[in-house]
Amino acid sequence: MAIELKWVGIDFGQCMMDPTGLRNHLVVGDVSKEMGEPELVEERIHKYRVLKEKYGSYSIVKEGHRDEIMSYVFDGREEAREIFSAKEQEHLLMGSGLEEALRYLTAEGIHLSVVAELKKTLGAMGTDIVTRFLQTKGLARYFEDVVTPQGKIDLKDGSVDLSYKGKTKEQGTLYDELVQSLLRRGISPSDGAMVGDKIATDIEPAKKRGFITIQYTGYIDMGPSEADYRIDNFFELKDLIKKKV
Amino acid sequence: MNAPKKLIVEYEDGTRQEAAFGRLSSAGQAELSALGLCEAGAADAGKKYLLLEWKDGWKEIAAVGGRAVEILRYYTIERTEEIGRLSMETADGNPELLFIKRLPGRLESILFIDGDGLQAYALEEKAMVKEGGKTEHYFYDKKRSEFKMKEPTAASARYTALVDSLKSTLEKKGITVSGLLAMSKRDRIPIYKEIARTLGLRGAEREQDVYDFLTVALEKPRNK
Repeated sequence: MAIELKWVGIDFGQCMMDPTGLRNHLVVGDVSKEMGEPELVEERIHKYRVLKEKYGSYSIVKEGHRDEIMSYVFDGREEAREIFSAKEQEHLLMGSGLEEALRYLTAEGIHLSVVAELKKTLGAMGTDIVTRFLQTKGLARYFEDVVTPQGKIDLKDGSVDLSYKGKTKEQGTLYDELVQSLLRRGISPSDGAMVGDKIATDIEPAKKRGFITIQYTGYIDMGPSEADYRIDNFFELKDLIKKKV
Repeated sequence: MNAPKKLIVEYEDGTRQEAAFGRLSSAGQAELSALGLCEAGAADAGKKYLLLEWKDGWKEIAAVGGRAVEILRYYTIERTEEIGRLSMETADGNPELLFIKRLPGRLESILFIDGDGLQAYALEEKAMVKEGGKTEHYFYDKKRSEFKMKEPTAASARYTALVDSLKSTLEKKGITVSGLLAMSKRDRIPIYKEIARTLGLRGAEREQDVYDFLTVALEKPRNK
């Protein structure tokens, strides 16, 4: 039996965005070749792997130590910065069935938000990894906004609501703000669902605030949780959700 | 040990370029050592060593930098890797083998250009061979009848289109082919860099290959 909803929030990293395609030979390789330095590909991949060992994961390196990627891996070559971001986007994939599900949900009239743990301060639309991904993949039209600890970005006009600033998914404060915002629009948390892979940030705090929770296991299965539903791909959302009238 | 400090390259016109010796990779340093230009292990001062021992009794020694103080972690990665193997028949011996690491399954075509002619290959998966945990996907195989080369005219047309866009790029910059070829190889490099960028040509392994190819294309614009 389908659950009836008015709003769905979807996590970004390793959920909507599938980083499987981000192989070092593609990203570091393409950047080096683009700069006319194919001879340095192997050496730079090695340095990039060293940074991963230093910080523990590529996502930590990319989110918190981008300057070090430029200085250490790309020898301080400033032109690498923009090429790296472009190549990174080019090789990111969408979660399986994502666009089909988004098309279905918007056709149903369900409001959609991206709910992401963005750590970097927001700039203009398309300068952060989330809005850039949405624009590059043609997904921005399906969502109304992107909710982040840096602020809520309105995808229609690019304005930023700073009442979300400093609030996080893990502490739940971001969901508190989201609940208030949805209530002002006449949507109660039980009419909304949060889809995400991380139990500590997408499932537990959202469920505690009354949202229906859907654990996405298509990229990483974080194991058993108190989520109301589990999906392996986004196609499953089409059978799971319908518009609440 | 008399440790080397600089690597100096002298050109035909007498000019010199130099770089710190330490910027050479260890493979590069080993090659210079083999040429007798530096002592073996010139950059190895202060190195530390790991003795690796396997369950089957196999042992290996690996040298690490002198800055290493302890093991941070050891883990293995298990994933299906896709690597392209591009082999070329040679006139007098073993095939030449090139590895394609960039999206190998999405390579669409190959134009083989040599001094005497052109051959175009359309790549399309037509055979698959499974052996244990390994799967080979065949996109071209000269020895299998289902694979065909493109018509010779297709190769010629593609090459001509490339040379034409090369010439038109030069014209836009106000440079003649003869003027460019009359320049020294070093003076051509900045122009070649710009042309390569405009044409979207990148070196697979060495940027010099792109420059050499551009020279061939300018010298032999009507390759058949």
